[in-house]
Amino acid sequence: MDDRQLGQLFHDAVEDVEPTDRLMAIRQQTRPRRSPRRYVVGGLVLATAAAVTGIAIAARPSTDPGPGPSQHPTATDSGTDPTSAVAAYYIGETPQGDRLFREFHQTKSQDTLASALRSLTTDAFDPDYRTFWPDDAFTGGWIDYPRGLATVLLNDASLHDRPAGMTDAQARLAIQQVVYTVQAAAQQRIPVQFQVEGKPIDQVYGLPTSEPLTNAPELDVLALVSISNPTEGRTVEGSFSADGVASSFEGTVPWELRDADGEVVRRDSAQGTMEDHLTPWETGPIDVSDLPPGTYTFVAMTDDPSGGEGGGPTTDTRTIVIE
Amino acid sequence: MEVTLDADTALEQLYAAHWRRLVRLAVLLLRDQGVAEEVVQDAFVAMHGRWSSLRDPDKAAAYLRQTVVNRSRSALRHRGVVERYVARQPAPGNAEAADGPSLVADRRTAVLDALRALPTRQREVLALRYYLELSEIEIADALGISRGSVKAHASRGSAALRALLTDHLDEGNL
Repeated sequence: MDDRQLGQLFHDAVEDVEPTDRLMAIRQQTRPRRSPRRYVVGGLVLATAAAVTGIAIAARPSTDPGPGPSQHPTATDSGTDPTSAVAAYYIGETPQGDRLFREFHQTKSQDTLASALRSLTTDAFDPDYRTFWPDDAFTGGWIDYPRGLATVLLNDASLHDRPAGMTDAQARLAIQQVVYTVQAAAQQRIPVQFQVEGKPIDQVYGLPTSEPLTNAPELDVLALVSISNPTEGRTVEGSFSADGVASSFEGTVPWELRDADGEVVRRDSAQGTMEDHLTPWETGPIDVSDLPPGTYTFVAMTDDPSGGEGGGPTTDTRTIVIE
Repeated sequence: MEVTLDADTALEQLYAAHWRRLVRLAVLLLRDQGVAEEVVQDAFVAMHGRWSSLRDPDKAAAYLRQTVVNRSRSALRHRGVVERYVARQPAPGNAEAADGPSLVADRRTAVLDALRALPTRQREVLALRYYLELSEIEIADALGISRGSVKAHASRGSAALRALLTDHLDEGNL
């Protein structure tokens, strides 16, 4: 056995190790923290939902279909904790004012609710999103399936009152951030009770919370289009596919791929359905093998037959890197 | 030619060029892919913070290598990594079907197991030499040891590894 063979053995031993893409996570750690958090004024009035429904939420834990770096099992996975995805809902701007966008985060924790709540107190990968929950907001939570109730533990009573500069609409959206995120972790539309030190807290951000809270209707609080894949900063090679959820005119979700100069290099539309809640869409494989390597932006939109009269389409974007 | 990159651009370029290879290097050193990714992620964050004194992609790449090796060593000291791995090892004598993919998987497992059985320095020297294909001088720089020590670790390490891997090398199925 010579050096060449040993070299081959070493390369072969790790050939199927495909690292997850952590560029965005690294960027998060290397850029100045965005603080203090800004509470942008938005004119959104949320309907209060009274009914608790039993509809399973469309939270797909599949994080990485399609080719390219992925988490397929490898020979070395025996030494790695299994990862799963949790959905976290962040605030982003839309023509309808601030709305909730869904982003998936990898976690190694068995406690998906705690992981999801932790996501809410950290910056989203997508730089367009923000959160209304400070670093130390939550200490945890649990889901009581038999009783159909989720409990979220606040660290202390410091969030009892509404901070200066936060509007009523933003406070409501903040609460819905938690309700939707918890329901995604529970995979059920169950109500959420806020607690501090083992007892229900009567207010959070100045809104009444003595009783369990339900989700507002999707079409009132969610962004009308949201991208699940690709994830922000994902590296792709050859081709990729995109998917997400939307509520768009006739179920049509136009999408574009733009290069670093904003030039559209691919354009098509995905077809979903149109109902009273968001429904899944997917593009199928998008061939990018002839595009020069670099940073691109994938944009998914709602269809806007009014030509902009209603404020224009809702968009969601993801940065991808083509190798 | 003087090319000045800002830290963010340098980070992106170095990530594109080195991320996968460094994670694989760390897997050779640590075995646990999750920990490997964390170690390399930390190295990139540290490199970004030092960019003003590095200012050169080659120097930055050397810094990344060095940081990955050092942090892998610290991670191994946290015995949890090893213990968790050992706890997940399948029971010996588990007879899998002797088809192609499982032979390949066996070989890969055998190489990683053999590396784990070596002393840390030998494992580091061999991974830098046979996986990153660094010269003796580069390895000496990365590990902060003399060229003589690199030679000594390399020869002892490869002899031990050859002994551990005879079966897989004799198969000639590479």
